Amino acid sequence: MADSPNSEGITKRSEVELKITGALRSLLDGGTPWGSVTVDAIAHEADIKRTLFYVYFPDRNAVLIRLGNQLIETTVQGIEAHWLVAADGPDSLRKEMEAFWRTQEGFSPVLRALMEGATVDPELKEYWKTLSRAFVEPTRRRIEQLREAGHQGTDADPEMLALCLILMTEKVLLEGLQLGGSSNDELVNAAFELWKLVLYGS
Amino acid sequence: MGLYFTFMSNVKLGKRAAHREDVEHRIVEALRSLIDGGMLWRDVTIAEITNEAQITRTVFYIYFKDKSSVLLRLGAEVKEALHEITHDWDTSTMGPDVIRRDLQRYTEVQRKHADLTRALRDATHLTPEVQKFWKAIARDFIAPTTRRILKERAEGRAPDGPDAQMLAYCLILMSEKVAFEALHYRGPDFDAVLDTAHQIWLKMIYGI
Repeated sequence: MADSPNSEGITKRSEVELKITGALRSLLDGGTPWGSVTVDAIAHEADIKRTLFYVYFPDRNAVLIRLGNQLIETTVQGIEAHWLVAADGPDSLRKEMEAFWRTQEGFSPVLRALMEGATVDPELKEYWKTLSRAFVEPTRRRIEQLREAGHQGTDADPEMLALCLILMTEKVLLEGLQLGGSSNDELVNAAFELWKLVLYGS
Repeated sequence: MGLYFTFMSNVKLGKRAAHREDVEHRIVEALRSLIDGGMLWRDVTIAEITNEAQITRTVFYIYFKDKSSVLLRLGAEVKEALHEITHDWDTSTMGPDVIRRDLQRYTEVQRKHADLTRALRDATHLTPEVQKFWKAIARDFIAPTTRRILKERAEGRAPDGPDAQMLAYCLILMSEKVAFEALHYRGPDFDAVLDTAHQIWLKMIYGI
């Protein structure tokens, strides 16, 4: 059966949107700093007219936020599908942390752009906060779940603990990505040990 | 006669140095005033600084090459205040209460220089020199923290645990990040975050 005109419109819309988000992703992956990204450059990369860009997005921030949402969806889905249901102890935590790390690494040019944008743009600053907080809630639930199952590393308030752990992981991850100083394996190890001791107590 | 000229020339040099110091001070204080007044780093311009310092643009460039150089001069104050916290770490014992005290001191410095640290952090994404400076501040804590953890373990006050340097790395970055977030995003309660960070330090180092 042929698509109705309406669904054709939706398909067309999502196709163009995908081209635009893909174009920004490609610019960022290619090393263009966020400060140098323009709507013209995105439209050129997407092979569309500048006017068409504005039919789909109000500005370049909206495209970056769309990419940030993809990161949140991928990560939170991963956390909820595995982390929150797996109760195999520290070993499953390790696997999930590695998966979390790999997802973040895959999005590292987007993360860098968001971080850079957040320092100069109030809208992106607010979004950056949302991004961190999106991981806090599932982590808080995980902590409470572990405590109900008898695991208790510290008796700190679960929400505060989740916040500290997420912020630490975010910072360690970004430092590793930015500096390339310590190898990511060492960092993952240290961060994992920290999570394990704080959540499981041993 | 020769002595007289030497004397006069020293007087002139002294006056010139004093003048130089005075102008530099005015420029640095002008930037401080703009930042403390809530101006975001991206909005700070040389024109704003010279206007605040009541000097010309030409004079500004005699003393500083750009606005980041002035910011780094101010940043040295934060660096020194933070350095004060670690100055006796190699000759003293750590312990749970000392960790709490030092975390408190660390956050107090962050709080006292809140506007300045925000400007420094914002500038890290725009200027490599500031980024290097900002990273070095955190690094200054990692080596002494590592030594302290190793000393606690060697003297039997703390059990063996994860690699001391990597652990110090995580703990310092966590403390910096949570203090900064609590201060600037005004989200969670500052003291509650400090309490939690303290508990994490104790768990990771002493297992308690």
